[in-house]
Amino acid sequence: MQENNSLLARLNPAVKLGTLVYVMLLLITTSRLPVTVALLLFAAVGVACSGWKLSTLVFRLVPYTVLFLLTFWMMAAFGKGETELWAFGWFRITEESLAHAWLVATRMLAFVLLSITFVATTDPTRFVMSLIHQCRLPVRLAYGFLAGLRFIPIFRQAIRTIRQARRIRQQRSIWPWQTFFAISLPLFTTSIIRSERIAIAMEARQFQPDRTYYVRPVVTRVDGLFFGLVCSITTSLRLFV
Amino acid sequence: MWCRNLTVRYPDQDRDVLNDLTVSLRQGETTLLIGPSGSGKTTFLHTLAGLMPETIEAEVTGEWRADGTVGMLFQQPDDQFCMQTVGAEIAFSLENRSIPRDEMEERIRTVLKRVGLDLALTTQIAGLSGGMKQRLALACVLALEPDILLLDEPTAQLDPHGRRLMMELIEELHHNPNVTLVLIEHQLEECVTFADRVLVFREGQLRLDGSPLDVFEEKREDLTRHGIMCPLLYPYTLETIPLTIATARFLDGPPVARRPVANETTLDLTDVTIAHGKRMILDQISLTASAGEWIMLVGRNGAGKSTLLETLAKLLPAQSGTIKLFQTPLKKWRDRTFYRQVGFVFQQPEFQFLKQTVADELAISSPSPARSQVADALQHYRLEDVAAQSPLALSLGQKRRLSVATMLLERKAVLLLDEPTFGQDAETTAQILDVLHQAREAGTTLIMVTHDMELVYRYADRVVVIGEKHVQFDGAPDELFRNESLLEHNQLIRPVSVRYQQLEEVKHRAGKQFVARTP
Repeated sequence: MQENNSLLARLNPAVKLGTLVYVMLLLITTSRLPVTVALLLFAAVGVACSGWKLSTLVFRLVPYTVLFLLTFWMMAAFGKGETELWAFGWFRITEESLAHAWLVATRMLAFVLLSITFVATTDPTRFVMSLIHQCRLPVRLAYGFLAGLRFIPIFRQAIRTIRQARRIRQQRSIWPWQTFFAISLPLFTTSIIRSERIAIAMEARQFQPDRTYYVRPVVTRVDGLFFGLVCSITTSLRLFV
Repeated sequence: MWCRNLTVRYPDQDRDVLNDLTVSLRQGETTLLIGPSGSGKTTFLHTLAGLMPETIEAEVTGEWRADGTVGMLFQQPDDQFCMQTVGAEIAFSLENRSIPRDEMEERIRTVLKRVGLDLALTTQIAGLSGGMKQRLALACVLALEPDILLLDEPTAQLDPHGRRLMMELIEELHHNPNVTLVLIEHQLEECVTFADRVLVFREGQLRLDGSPLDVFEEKREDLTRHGIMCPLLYPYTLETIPLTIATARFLDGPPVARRPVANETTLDLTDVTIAHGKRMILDQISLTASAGEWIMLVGRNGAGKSTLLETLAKLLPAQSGTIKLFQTPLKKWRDRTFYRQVGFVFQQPEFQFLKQTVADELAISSPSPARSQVADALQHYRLEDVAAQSPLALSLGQKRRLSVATMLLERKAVLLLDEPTFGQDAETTAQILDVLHQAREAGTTLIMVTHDMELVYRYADRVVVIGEKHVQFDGAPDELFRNESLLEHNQLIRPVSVRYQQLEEVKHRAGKQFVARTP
């Protein structure tokens, strides 16, 4: 997650999340391709406004494009249907399965784009603070979550070291899950110890739910405007396309 | 602040960590706690900080009270934060005290300035060095405006430069009459000069209580007998220490005696360039290492010492230039044969272990281990008692010994070590050095990253200073310690022994003995 100066980044994170979830709900409830494509285009506009550079965006989207193609192929080649278009071995593409494949794949891509829009424009600290203030998330849970976020770079470093150690000591596993356990076990044990230490340090700093806030996201008129605008546009897309 | 008949016992343990402790500390006093590990010092601080028994589960009896706000600073720089950025982290302390939002910004800047950190409030904590993190942690504690400040080995995990800055800050706090300081610290040399009182803990009880002079001068032999570390020089200073006492003889001692380095090249680097993405780390460096040579890499934090080690271990590719092991470029070595010749000891031993028991861990360290070989190693590294335990359940010192043992079970041509003595107690350090010394005598090339200049003086055949992407110095330790500007520039500190010897030389040239002042 990261924050930048785009308009979307300045919105209240909870409102932004609510709005995007609403669009996702619309996506789930429709089974018409034109509507899905229209909403997909809308989501693409969102991503374009997220303030990421085009190169970063393309780089981040590559895995999802692959996923898109895979989903499309799976649904098209193995779906049910009457009117056969093309068949080879186990693969049998029919008109119905092709239509279904388009629907599912575009829906998935729209979900991905909406999520990326959110992730690209939201600072985690502000998001959690917004959840405390706008959604009444319990303070202890919220700060615990924030403390947990710090583990991600630490994990990355630890995994790197473990892989290096396995290479140096020439340990290869026959099955993938052995690698998984070999890496996760030391991570798990060290993180239990660490999280306990962090909890003690937080308590020692007199952590309590009764507090003031350094970051205090509020809902402004811009947020309301954004919510209203997006909801009305997408709802009309849903109803009239 | 006092406690009376304080007894603490952790669940699932059969003896008390603190046993019937009665002590009171006066306001504005600076107290130094010393004692062997496991003697209850940290538990005592946790109790005073009000963490027992609510946060840390334990059976606590007796009475204790602290008048005023208590702040506590912990040993691990990384494990005290819960936010992403510097500003938010300090604000967390202020939020807990319900300070109004408009006052926060200014207060944050004030404490940051107080600990000498000149950072933007949006700086990511993850990118800071250990020393900076610890100073930030101190800033967070100071933001609580504590009357009582508890410090649990605040410099143990820092490099010498960070340690010196931290110690200066602590001494400054000591001069504030409103702050009561209680300090656990193994860097006795620096803090004994300003401590008002020393408490010696052993087996959960208070054994000695007095001024530093009482404790360290009169009871020195007593303490040493029980394996409790004493400051090296105190009550003297480098200038006034008499020639006759044991410390002076130690300081005057020459580097460890060893065989001359053989004339057989192991690793050979020519014009090696290493980069992370577009950022260049090392630019065209050349080095040659011989069999049985102990080379130490020193330099600032982030100078690229660890990166260089990783490249030598074939873990990171070099952008250009050639690295050869026994005249064959690294690229042509196959992993299987290469890693029988080259070993690597990581900075964090816990991530180096791959098996469920200590014995298994040793057994995989050699392609065809004889049973006796593993048994010998267990005995040699004093790991017999824990042979069936998980490596992750070992103590810090045991983990470190095991990590070295796994790499030296088979004779290696080259052993790369990333700060193997960092954060270790004196005993483990001595033992590791002994083992490494033996490996060196057997013809292994040792290349070791370290911040400990005393080690450089005592053991290094050659010292390589890395800074600003280049090799700034490559030669004998003696030569480095005479080069004032080079030391200064790379944040290196001359070891006490060298300082002492240089002083002695000056005295000698002056032609007369200085009269030792009695303190």
